[in-house]
Amino acid sequence: MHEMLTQVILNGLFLGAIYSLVSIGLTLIWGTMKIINFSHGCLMMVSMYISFWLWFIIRLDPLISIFIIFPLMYGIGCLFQRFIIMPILEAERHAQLLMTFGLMLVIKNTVLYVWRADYRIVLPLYADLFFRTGEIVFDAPRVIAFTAAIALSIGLHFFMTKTSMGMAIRAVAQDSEAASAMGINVYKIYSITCGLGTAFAGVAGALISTYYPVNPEAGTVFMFMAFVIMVLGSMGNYLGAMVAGLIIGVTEGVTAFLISSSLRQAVAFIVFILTLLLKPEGLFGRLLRR
Amino acid sequence: MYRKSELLPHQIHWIIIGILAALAFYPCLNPGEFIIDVTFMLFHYAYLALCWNLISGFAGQFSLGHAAYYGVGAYTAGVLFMRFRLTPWLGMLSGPMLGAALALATGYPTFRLRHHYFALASLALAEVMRLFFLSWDYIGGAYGIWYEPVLRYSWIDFQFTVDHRVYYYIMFAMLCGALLLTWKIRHSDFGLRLMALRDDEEAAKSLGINTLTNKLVIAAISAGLTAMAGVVYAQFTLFIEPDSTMSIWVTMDMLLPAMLGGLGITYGPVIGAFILIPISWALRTFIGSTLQVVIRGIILMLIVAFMPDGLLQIVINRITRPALIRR
Amino acid sequence: MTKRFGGVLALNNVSFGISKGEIVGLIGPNGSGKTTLLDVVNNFLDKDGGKVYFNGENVTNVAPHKLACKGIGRTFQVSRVFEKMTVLENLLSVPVRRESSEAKFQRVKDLLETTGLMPVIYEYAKNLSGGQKKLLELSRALMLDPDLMMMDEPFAGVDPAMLDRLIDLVEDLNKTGKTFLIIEHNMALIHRLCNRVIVLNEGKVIAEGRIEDIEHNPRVVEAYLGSGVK
Repeated sequence: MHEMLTQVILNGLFLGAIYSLVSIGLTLIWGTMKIINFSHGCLMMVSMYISFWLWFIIRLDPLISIFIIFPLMYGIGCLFQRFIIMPILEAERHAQLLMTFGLMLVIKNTVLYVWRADYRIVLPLYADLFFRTGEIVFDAPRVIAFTAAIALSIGLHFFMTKTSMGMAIRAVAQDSEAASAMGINVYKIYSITCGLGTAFAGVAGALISTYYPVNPEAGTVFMFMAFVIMVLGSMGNYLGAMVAGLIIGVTEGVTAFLISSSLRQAVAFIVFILTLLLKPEGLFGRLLRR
Repeated sequence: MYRKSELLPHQIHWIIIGILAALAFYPCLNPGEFIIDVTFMLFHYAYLALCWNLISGFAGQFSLGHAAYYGVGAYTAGVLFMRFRLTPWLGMLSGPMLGAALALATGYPTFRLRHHYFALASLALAEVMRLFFLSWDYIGGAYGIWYEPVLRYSWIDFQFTVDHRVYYYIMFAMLCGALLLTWKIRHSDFGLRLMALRDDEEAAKSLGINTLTNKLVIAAISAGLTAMAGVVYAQFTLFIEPDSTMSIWVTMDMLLPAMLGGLGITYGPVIGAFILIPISWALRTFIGSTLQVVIRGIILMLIVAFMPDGLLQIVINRITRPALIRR
Repeated sequence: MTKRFGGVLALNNVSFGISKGEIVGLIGPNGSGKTTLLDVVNNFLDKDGGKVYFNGENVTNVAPHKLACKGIGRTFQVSRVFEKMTVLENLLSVPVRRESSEAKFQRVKDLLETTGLMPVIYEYAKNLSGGQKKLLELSRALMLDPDLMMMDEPFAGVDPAMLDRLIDLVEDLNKTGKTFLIIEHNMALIHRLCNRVIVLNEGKVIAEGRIEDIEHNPRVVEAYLGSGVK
């Protein structure tokens, strides 16, 4: 019994890392532009499909297709920033929410129309590979996805703290006016951040297409999770998102196992409400009460 | 009159009353069930858009999960009738109460924070409720609640399958009621406080406006009224399921007309509904429901980009250009 | 009335008192914490320590809207009028209890006459000029008849004609017993209006007293101009 629990926790950890990736993208975008991108999950879903088709048509392994998807999604992110975000940067909050929401509707339903709601999955060479110690199974796709996610997150941390670009991004996130006064081209940073955030979501999509069904609804699920994780890990804080993602992944898995599988998503909601009630600034932040 | 903030001349009100009168009497001409149903649904969506506008347009608290209250209303009526053999009219009373309670429960923690938290929390709530209801077998789960038509025309059972005109009049009465309520609120001190806290919450607080209480009140009113519409819907279609009552599409159907017509403007949602609903029906017939959502998503984005405050607001802006001072 | 207060972060153990009927100026270089001070008194920001007393009552943890009812009014650095409402609606939105609508409407009319905003009574606030918005914000705050008015740079960006009207208004109100705490940079105005001045720098009170005495205080000069100036 307790070995099954360990297995559940482990799988939750693996999934959590992917949640983290998506959430990091979301929180980065919010951190600099103060906009919640409702279509973030959708973009991830699109990259799941791209990864699937690349595998289906030319048998390209997702790990390799990442090298295509990262720049591709980065570019899409920049386009997104230029054409969707820029016009509403100064608009009222509800306008911003609804713009990205509308985009989500468009993307999701276009995908639904073109490719239908059938579930698809990528089956790479290592799909059936696993490693086992005792009762605990380490599933190759999951482990590989997890490792890649962690590596990418660590890479991001180095980027943010050790490179001047990363520090510029953090400066803009803290105070865009001050950063601008220091000579940082804020719009360029917006573009880069959007690209980066979307690329992260894209990579997450590619990584997870090996063991999570590719379907138009996937975006919504991950969007929801990413959002809750963003709030839990303090909005704008990418390290917080990393940690919170793992926490949520494990919590979700354990709840599904111990209580009921259909309450899986309710967990995220409950966490969200609890966070708002008890610690609205997230685990790592400070919030000005307004 | 103190509150001379009316921009529309008095004549407009007579025109509106004229239109309403025409709408009230035309069913007597026996135009056939299809037309009745069409106008019924038109009123239904206009009513819902009005309810949504109360909290989102006037108070500025965007509710992205308003469908939750709609579903609560529908399910209350359905469960009361199918499980307990109680008249759905009881649902008309208890549904709104539950809806209001739900709104208060969601609002209290989230209204104290920045206002977009309410939008997101309400979205989360509606989604989770939908999922929860999908797996709750006691009230039908994914299968939903299928009414057994008791009699073909019965007031006590709130079913009028023979003559849809009764539904029509009920909805018509509700629409007029909602319009009147919106108008009253708009021209009351309460309405002024709501708009104040919408425009600048901190400034409103510094003037002694208890923003939390005001928000909670309008949230409860809006939710309760929405739930009532849910009851009517249940009695009209005689079939309820989570996806058609609590999904995000339902909220979208409330939201789009209000945004198109004019947020925070009394007649806005009605005008928006009368324009948008026929368009989306036409779209659904000709290009299928999935693409129809795509088009509506595009419409939403266009509205946000070019007229975020709605059509009527553009009209009002034209009338009140700076150089013009009326009366 | 007295107010005693101390807090941390942007405000380092700031403590001061204001007596009824005074016009106190709050000055200091940018970033010294002046607006933060007002925000904390108003309870828009949480304090990390310290108390606020108003009219003998401990109002440290009272919510902003209740403070307003108790008699503390506030205007903001960037005028925060209700843009989508008309001037009339802006004023009518203030919840004034214990008054009939006729009395309230009369008060609105009086305020509009005094500030000269009557011609634009039906204008949407967003169409007003900067100076008019400031006047509107002030009249709106005055609807509650506050005993203490806290004003954050109320004279910035106001044209000279409007300025005189504003200053006269403040002086007239002061004569009727209202107390003022005004953040301002313009020394001439401070001279003209304020009995007393508190100087803030980097979150600390560095001087307090009459403006004539303060002006030549070396620490004050240093705060504004930097230590390189002799």
